[in-house]
Amino acid sequence: MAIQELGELELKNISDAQKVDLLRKVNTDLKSSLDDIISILTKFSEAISIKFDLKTLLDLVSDILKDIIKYKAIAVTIYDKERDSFNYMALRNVDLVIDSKIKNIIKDGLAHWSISQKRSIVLPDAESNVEFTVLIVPLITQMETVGVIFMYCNKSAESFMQQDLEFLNIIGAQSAIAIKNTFLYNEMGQKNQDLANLKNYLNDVIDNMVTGVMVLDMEGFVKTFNNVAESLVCLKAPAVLGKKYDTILPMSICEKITVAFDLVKNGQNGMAPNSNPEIEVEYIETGKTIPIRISYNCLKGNNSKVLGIIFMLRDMSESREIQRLREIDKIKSELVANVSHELRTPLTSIKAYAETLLDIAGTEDVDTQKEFLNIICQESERLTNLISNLLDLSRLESGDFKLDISEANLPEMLKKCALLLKELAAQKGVAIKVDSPQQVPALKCDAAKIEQVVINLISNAVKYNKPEGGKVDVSLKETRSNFEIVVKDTGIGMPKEALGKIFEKFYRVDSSLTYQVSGTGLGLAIVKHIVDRHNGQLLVESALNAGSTFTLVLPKS
Amino acid sequence: MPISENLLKKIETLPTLPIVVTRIMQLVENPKTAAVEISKVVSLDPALTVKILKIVNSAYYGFPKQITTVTHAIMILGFEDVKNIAMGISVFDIFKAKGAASDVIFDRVAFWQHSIAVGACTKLLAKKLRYKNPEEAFICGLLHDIGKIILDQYFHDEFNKVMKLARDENLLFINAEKRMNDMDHAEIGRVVAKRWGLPQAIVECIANHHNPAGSETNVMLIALVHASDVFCKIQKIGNSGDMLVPQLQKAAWDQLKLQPTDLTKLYEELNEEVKKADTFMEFAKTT
Repeated sequence: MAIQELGELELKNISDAQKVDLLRKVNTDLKSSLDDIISILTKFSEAISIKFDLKTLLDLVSDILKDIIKYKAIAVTIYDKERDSFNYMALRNVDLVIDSKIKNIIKDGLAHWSISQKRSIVLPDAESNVEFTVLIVPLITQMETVGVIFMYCNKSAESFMQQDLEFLNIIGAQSAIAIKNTFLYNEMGQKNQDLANLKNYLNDVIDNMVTGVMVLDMEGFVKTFNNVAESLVCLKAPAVLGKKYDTILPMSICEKITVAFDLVKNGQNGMAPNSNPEIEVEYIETGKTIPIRISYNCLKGNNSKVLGIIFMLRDMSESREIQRLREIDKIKSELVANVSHELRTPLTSIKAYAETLLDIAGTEDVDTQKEFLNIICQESERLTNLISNLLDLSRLESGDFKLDISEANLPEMLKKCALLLKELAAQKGVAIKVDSPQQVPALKCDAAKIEQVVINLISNAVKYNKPEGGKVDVSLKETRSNFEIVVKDTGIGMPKEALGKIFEKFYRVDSSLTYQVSGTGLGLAIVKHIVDRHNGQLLVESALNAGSTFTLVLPKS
Repeated sequence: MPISENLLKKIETLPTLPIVVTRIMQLVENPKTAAVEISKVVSLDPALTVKILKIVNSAYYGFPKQITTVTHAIMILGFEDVKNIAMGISVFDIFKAKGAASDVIFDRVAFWQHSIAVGACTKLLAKKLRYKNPEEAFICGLLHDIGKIILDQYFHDEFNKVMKLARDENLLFINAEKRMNDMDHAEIGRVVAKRWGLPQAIVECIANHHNPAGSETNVMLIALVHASDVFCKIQKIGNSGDMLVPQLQKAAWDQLKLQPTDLTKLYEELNEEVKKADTFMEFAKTT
């Protein structure tokens, strides 16, 4: 039949009624095809909304394809971009023969071609005598290749309808998106897990720092509060996190933080970008004073916007302790120097006089010899005193010292002490006056030590009194629970700043007078120790050139 | 521009598309058409069968294996593409290059070169902009200037006058047409394409390829064709009657949202794509 003839036949020999029938058929087919598409899409959307689980999803895709294509075997593969390979993910009835067919198709580049053209293709199965076909459905989203579905069908290529190919394209596109979503969902789960791990890791790091860390956002809410911060501030993180710092932290800390906070808030005016300013604060928690050094810095986001402030809290107790130990060490060194000096002075004079004595030994100058021997005697006495003081102090400080408790008659003791120092007082032109009740209850104490204390106080009062006409008033008072011994002088007094130091070893108020008066600088240190051991108190009031008053308070029990 | 009675009358006498192609177009309209029905119709025209197989096995598709039957071609390229190929081939058949008159001004080989390049360019742009059907875009680009070849074939004297005017006064072909008053290749193309029963998208692209704002439907496709026409003239691929570059209409530019960097890349790929469509050129020269 010639072409032209066919045309005549097809177009001219058709009656109008037949043409209407033909149009009606196309119309019906279109409608039923549309219904098919809707039903597939409905099935699909129901299926993929169930779960983000790849296996379930691929099973559903395989089921839907089975309905439409009635395949003999199906293999859903996922594309591995790095290896440029297709990996089986869901298989049905894929035996060795079909497996090798699929492998050949991939090897021949047909899967890649189908992906590049973004269309499903139907290939006649070249090796089989029967009418078999292989269907290749690319799984592609707008952005990337997800995989390819291979189906083996017992159906000739000829019988495929146009809509079959369309369906395959639709299912391919939908499946690709669904699979991709599953990947993204799992990836997101993994990312969340990674983030959680990272967060835990960072929290561990922050919690195990030796520094307290507290982060505030720009509204002043606490965002981070680590272990060390917890123990420094004595608050638990859950109580602090998410709260405004000034509603929860101790007052003394808040004040300092507010200052820092305002500096940062007001456009960092007071803060160079990388400065690391520090503030120190001390506050009392459960009776313990905790010194804290707080340094802070801005927490900046990507665009250098200040997101908050990081505060680093350091417990300064330890470094203060170290500093104290350093000071003690220094005192020890000074002590050695002082002691050496104090020991050498009398020794030098003893040696000088002894040598002179040797020179004049056998001469008739008995008076001079006597005088020299007296000096040697006095200096030896001074040495003995110094050494016994040192020994006392050393024992007291080491704690290797026991109180020898007996009953002491305080009025008697005061009188005795005044008597002992009478001669010294007379030399200095100072009058000692004792004012004490006749009868008071006996005090249980180490009488010898308390006597030492009183003697020391009175002798100081005498030594540092004014040159002539000075007075020392010693009085005893009994209160309900204490005895108070007051030693008051009319001497040179002490400047305020010296008051805190007079009980330190070898401390001597720096004045012209002190150089004239001999002393070891150990007396008051010993006194303080003895009083402390008796649970007593030694109070001192003084002002320069206005005399000093030492009050010894001894508890009765 | 309305076309004259004289022209319309003559159009009535123009050859129609081969009945085989018309039938294929009808069949493809029905989604329930089976591959076998199309291949049966195609097989009635052995020359068409050979040409289709030549195209589907050409670099244009780059299929990795030999395609030996029309059914095979349909199952691989899809019904739509095979239909488009058949349409393209038939149009080439009607307007053979060697069928031109002796006083030839219009170079048909250069014309088809330009048409194929515009087709290739439209397809490239369509892919780039994720237009749903790149092959449809190709055929629209390929046939956009079909009016000119109709004019050359059937209104030869008038057409030559326009050509001379364009050449002598260095005018755009379309502006020369306007001077002549009763010529409009876009309108003639539209009327003929409609008479042949070509798909509406193609008809609109032919009618509006100089005026992308002129249609409310297939706006994207028309913009693609319009822009491709301009781009191919800038690249001086082939010749469609004048060597001037028309202005790219704002409506199309807005529709495509292209960046200047996209163009550089497009021009690179265009040469590749034109080479792939070489088989079409063979048809234009030899049929």
